[in-house]
Amino acid sequence: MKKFWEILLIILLPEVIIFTIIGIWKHDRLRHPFDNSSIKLSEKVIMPVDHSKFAELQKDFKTPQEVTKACLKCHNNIDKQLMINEHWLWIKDDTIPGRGHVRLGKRNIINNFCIASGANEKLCTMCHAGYGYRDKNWDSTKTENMDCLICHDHTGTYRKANPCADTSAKGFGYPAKGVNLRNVAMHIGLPERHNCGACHYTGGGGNNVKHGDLELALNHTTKLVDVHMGVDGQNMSCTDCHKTRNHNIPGNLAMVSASPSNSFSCTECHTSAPHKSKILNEHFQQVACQTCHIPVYAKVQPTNIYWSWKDAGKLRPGGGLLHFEKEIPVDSITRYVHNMAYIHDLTTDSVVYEYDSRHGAAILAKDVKPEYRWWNGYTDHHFITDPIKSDTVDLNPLMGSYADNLHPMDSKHPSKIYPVKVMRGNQIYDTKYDRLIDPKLVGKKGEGGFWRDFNWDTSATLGMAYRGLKFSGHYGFIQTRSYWPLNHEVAPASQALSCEACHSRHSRLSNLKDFYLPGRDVNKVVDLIGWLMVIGALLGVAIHGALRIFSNKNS
Amino acid sequence: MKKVYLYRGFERFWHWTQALFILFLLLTGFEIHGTYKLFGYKTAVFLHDNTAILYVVLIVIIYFWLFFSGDWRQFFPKKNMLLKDQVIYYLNGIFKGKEHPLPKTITNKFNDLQRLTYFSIEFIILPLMVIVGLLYMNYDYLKANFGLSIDLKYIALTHVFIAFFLLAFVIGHIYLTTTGYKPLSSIKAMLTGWEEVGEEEETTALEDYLRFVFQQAEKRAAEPDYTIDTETFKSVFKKVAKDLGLSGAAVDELLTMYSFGHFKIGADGKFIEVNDVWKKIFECTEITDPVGRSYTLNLSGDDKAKVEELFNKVLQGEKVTGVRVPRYCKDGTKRYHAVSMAPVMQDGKVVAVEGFIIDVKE
Repeated sequence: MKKFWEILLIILLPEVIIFTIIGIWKHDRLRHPFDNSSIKLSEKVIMPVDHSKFAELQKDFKTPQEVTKACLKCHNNIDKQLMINEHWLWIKDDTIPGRGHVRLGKRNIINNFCIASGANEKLCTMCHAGYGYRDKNWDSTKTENMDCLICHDHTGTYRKANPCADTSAKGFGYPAKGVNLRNVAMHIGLPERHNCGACHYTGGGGNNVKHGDLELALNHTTKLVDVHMGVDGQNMSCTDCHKTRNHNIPGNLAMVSASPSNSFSCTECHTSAPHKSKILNEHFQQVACQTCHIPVYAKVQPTNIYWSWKDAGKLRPGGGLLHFEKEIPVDSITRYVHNMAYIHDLTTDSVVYEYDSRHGAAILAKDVKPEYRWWNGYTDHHFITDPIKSDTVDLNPLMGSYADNLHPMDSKHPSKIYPVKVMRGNQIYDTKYDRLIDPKLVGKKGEGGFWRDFNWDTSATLGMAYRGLKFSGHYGFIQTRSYWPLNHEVAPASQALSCEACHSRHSRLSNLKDFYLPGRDVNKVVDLIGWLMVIGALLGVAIHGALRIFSNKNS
Repeated sequence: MKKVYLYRGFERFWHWTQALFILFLLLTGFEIHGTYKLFGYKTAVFLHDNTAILYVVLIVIIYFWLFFSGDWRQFFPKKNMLLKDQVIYYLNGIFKGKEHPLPKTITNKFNDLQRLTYFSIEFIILPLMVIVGLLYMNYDYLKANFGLSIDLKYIALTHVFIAFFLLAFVIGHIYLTTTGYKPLSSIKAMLTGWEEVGEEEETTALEDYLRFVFQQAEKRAAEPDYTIDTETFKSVFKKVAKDLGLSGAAVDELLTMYSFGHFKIGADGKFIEVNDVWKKIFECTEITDPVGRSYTLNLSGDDKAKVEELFNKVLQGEKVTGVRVPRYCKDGTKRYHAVSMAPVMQDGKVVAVEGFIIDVKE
């Protein structure tokens, strides 16, 4: 009995206490964690001025330029702020590490949607914050051509004309037919979601086609789609984060930027240690907030994940345009687009297959899982003059690696893992000169634009000539990728990724192979030797034990 | 059934706590490694880290205990280890029902193979595991604040490799507990402190145990209030035993099993009385063998001079504690024992000398 109490006191009781502590002790908990509810949105600036009372604006404006001039009468010199803005210039000075200074912007980059603005400016500039941007000879010093209304319209009626559909417009980037300039001018204010969204939601030719995380639904949405913008939550607008001063709108898009020179981050409100758990906070050293908090994108409207230009140009018998969309099961994607090299990790069972004679084949998908890349905020770019060196061209390779996380080349921007929409497709290139082609796509019939004449030869020749480059006459189609880091459609905390999303054999980070990730990685040699040791011990024990039992019986 | 006391209370506590820690760390650790899914990754990490932190605390306490109790000596490899005998025993003798070549005693409770293994585990592998684990656990912090530049891969793989090794060790360790006197003897010993042993082993173990306690008692004897008589010695014995973490039951058990050779010598140098243990130590059967004879018995030369010197010292009123002296047993062999003695006073005069002996090896 004494021994029983001794065992109880010395062995059982302490273990019960110790393992109770192990079960409930939260060693990882910060003593004074950051309180998310302490973040206060700054009061929305309400303009004390009622613009509708100004006689200057109570006019029947003949041209949109008259509106701009009226704005500048009071807001004098404001045009100087916009004169250096990318929304106006479509190009900016930037630096690519290792390549030095570059001029970069919509004017000269190549993507794998509608490829390039080059000879297509007539159409592309319907999203330019100005009037009359017709071609490369456009004069950026004529500030009366600035379009104030596209960003400041509060009536929701201001639209720009699509030069293909609306031929009555007086010039490129002009307001659409039926826009009441007087009414719009009298009802202006600070930009709202629909102002930014007018261009940024519909890039690539339709709602959410291009970005994947910017779509019309964000104008009026719920927390489940976007925790910041949901009307049932913070109901924030774009400029609450893209805090604009002097018309400089912060935020860098990797497709048109090379450096994070004008960027901002979640930490400005949430600090770099927003979790109660230290381990989670430490993840910020390697993992961007977006990685866990944007588990899927394209939550409402499907986004384009694959674009095959190679398939473009098939017409109906008789020459009519072919256009159809249909839902196809995910596992049949490769039957529709044979050269699709990679199938996204989709959450849905079906995707949309779209065929259009002008564009070729496309795959659009909803609720897409992002891909993940190391990124330090710097982005290289494949310029049209750069030679093609591989089977697949990365149009804007995100710079960064695990090594850069360990020894950052810029201590302010060490590489972190980011969620990225990777846009894949194939597009035309010059097989002799080994460089990408900026084809002329738009134009009236007979002008050589591919979308009317369906002739790659003329389209390539004209497009390249516009840029002052030669086309060899030989073209092919090459696989390309472009990278679109995701920042929007942040999910509520409860929907954030769990540990197993990355720390498991089926890791979302299975593509990032240059580092050891607990739970995902095993070293085959270590595991083999390890299991051999364990099995060896078991076998040894079994054999020795059996021999002992056997010899005992004998004796 | 013969038993020896081998593992003190704290030892048993730390052994089982360490055992459960290692098993639980293996269980949660291999989940983190991705081998299976049990608690879920987040909970597994949480439990693993909690256990690891407490384990670091335990290991510090263990080291302190080993250092201050002197028990670390038992872990350190010594010269002339009989590894070969042991290997031969496990490969051959064990199947023939032979006894283990190396008996367990309290000052030598590990056989040579255990010494080598536990030294490697407790002083090399576990500390390495703990250090690597701490680097792993605080990797981000150390990287950010102390520029730790070892790739996580090497830290993680070392941690995993040692984990495999420990798993293999645990398997072998548990199996070897069944190779004691009886299959469950060793496990029982680790629970109660008392190990069942064979006859031969028991004698060695208990002699060693008494020698150990006696040495400890000697050290205490320097305290001023120490006078040597049966009760005092027993109380010192108990005190020492208690300090060593022996339970009251364990002390009583030992005292019943063993007592010390007790003697009383008159001022004239002639034995007045001896007890049975004394007789056993001197291998004599009759009480008249010593009683009435001179205390020097058959000693001569230097040996005799040494004993006389001690005796005279006590006659002067001094005390002697734990001095090793030679003796000739009844069968004529020369052996040694440790003696502690003190004067018996009467009316301010020394009338007799009383003391204890315990057999010691040469």
